[in-house]
Amino acid sequence: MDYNKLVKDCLKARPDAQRQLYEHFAETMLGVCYRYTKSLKDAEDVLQEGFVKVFFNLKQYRNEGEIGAWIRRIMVNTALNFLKRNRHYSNQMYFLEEHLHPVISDDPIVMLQAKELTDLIRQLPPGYQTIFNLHAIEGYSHVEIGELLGITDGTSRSQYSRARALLISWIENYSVDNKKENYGRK
Amino acid sequence: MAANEFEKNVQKAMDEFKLHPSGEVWEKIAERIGERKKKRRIIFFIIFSGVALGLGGYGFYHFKENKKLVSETGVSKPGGSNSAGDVQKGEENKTNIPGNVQTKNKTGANGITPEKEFNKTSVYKKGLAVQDKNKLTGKKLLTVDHTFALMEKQPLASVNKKESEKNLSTDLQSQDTKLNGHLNSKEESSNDVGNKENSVTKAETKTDQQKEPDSASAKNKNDQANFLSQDKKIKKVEPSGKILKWGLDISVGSSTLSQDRFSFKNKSSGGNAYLSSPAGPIIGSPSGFTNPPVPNRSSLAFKAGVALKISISKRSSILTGISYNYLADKIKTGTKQNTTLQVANSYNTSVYYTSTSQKEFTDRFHFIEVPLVYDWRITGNKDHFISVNSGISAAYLLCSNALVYDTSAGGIYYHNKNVLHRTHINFSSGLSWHFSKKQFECIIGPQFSFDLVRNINSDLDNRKYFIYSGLDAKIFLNKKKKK
Repeated sequence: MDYNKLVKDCLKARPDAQRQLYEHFAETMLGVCYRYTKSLKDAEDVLQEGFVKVFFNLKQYRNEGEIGAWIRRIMVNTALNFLKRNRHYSNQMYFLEEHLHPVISDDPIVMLQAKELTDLIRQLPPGYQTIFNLHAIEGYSHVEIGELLGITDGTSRSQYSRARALLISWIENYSVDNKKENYGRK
Repeated sequence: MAANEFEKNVQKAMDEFKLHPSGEVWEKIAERIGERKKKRRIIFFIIFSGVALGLGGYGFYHFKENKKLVSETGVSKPGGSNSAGDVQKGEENKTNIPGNVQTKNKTGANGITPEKEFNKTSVYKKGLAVQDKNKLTGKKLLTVDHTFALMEKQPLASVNKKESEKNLSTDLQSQDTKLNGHLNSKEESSNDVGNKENSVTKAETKTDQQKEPDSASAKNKNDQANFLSQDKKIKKVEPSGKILKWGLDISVGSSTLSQDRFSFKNKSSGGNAYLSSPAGPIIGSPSGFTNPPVPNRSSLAFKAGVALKISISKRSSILTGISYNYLADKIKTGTKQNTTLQVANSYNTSVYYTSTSQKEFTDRFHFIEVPLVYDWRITGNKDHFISVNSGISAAYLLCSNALVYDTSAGGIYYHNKNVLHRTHINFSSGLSWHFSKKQFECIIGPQFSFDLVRNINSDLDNRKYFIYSGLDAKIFLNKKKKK
């Protein structure tokens, strides 16, 4: 796909080009948004807000990097703003409770392995979840995370290590449970 | 698990993670993009209209004022017929001044020293010319003071008055002496004749001699009075000849959507175009037959707003302003369906109506409009007259609930704001009866307007151009004259 042409057409406010850009990136970006939120509805709200920002600020994109990475950054920032704005998330942002946080079961049709991992990440406390997403998946440094979330890089590091340890233990338990289930079936 | 390996595995898994968003997300995004565009357009439209109105009003006001000055004083701007380069020859007391400008040389009479006069004549070089007017023709003189009055924005009438008093006092003195001399000689000759005819006595001659100068001076005084009254007229004309008038504009009538420009043809023509659906498979029409669009009918429409009348001349004026327009047309549709359907241009609609004539539906369009109409008086009476008018107007569609026809699913009507043109240009024409009272001026008459821009941008829907016909009334309030 010729992204440059697509971006130019979007800048000319052509509805078909805008639709094409949205359709090309929507699924991946919803996956990004989904990891930061606790429900699919919230993820879709973030996606909507993010794409509106993309179309309104597309003239700021200067073909320097990949358009996908640029959109992804916007989605992550939109998701962070959403978490800060939303009381439900912001109150529990740094609540260090090491048990599963309930998520709304949306049952989307996704690839099973990725979904299982995503669901586990989403069961982390919101503070852990955000920092884990930013560092492990998006590749932000702890200094950058500190600047983004208004915390020290030390806090980011400690929360990330706790989130990582928690997630590894859940993955191990999940694998054991699955194996038991599989054996039971056999 | 190794530190980096865990992150790599997670990243790899997450790269493959995709979720399909619901259709509502794009609809909301498109709606928000549209809202922003709409807001931007409205802002531009208002700014453009405001600037156009302001410039138009300013231009006409100054055009009118300059025209008045030219007609009353004979001053014209450079480049005009009486430009500084033109030399107008007077009959007497004129001197050629460098720069091909002539002025009336009345050294001492106006109390202007030659030095002052030279300085003042340099003002003429800048673009103002003096058109000398002969007293005998009854026209007024334009002297240097007029020019300075214009330059310094002094009231012209006061300068005229001052100057005319000055001129007349000196002129009267010189004329009196001249006339006395002239009459004396005349008297002598008439006395000679009288003596010859033996009909006039010396006493009578004496009384005649006394009367003649008296009548001459009376004539001069009459001239002076006329001259001053002309000045007073100038004073009177300026406040009463109001150029700009604000008022209310209300119009009630009917509107419809026609197939062609300047045409009342609004019947749909069913034909081959409706036998196939370009938008995809026909759902609910087993034989491939598609219902053609139903004929539309006219509906009640109205306009209301603020009007501005700019008088250009005695007979013509420009009417402008800003108004809210409600235009509509009626169609008959079938039952409402709450099913998502893909129609032309991959547009998804969740609500649509079948194209069968069952229920009446009114397509409502809300516009904001800025008209620019030229009005020309065709009858003589100033207070009660008939005029013809025509002009153009720019309109912006604020919102609409209009249904658009599509051949999908055997012919349907659905809502799609994307195919409605926002900006419209209309041609309007009408006949008006003007009558004015002390407190107000009223303009009333039939009005027709035709849309020059296509309203529904769809090849499947024949309803394209708006037509409006109605009775238009404008009321302009006259300000009370200050005593």
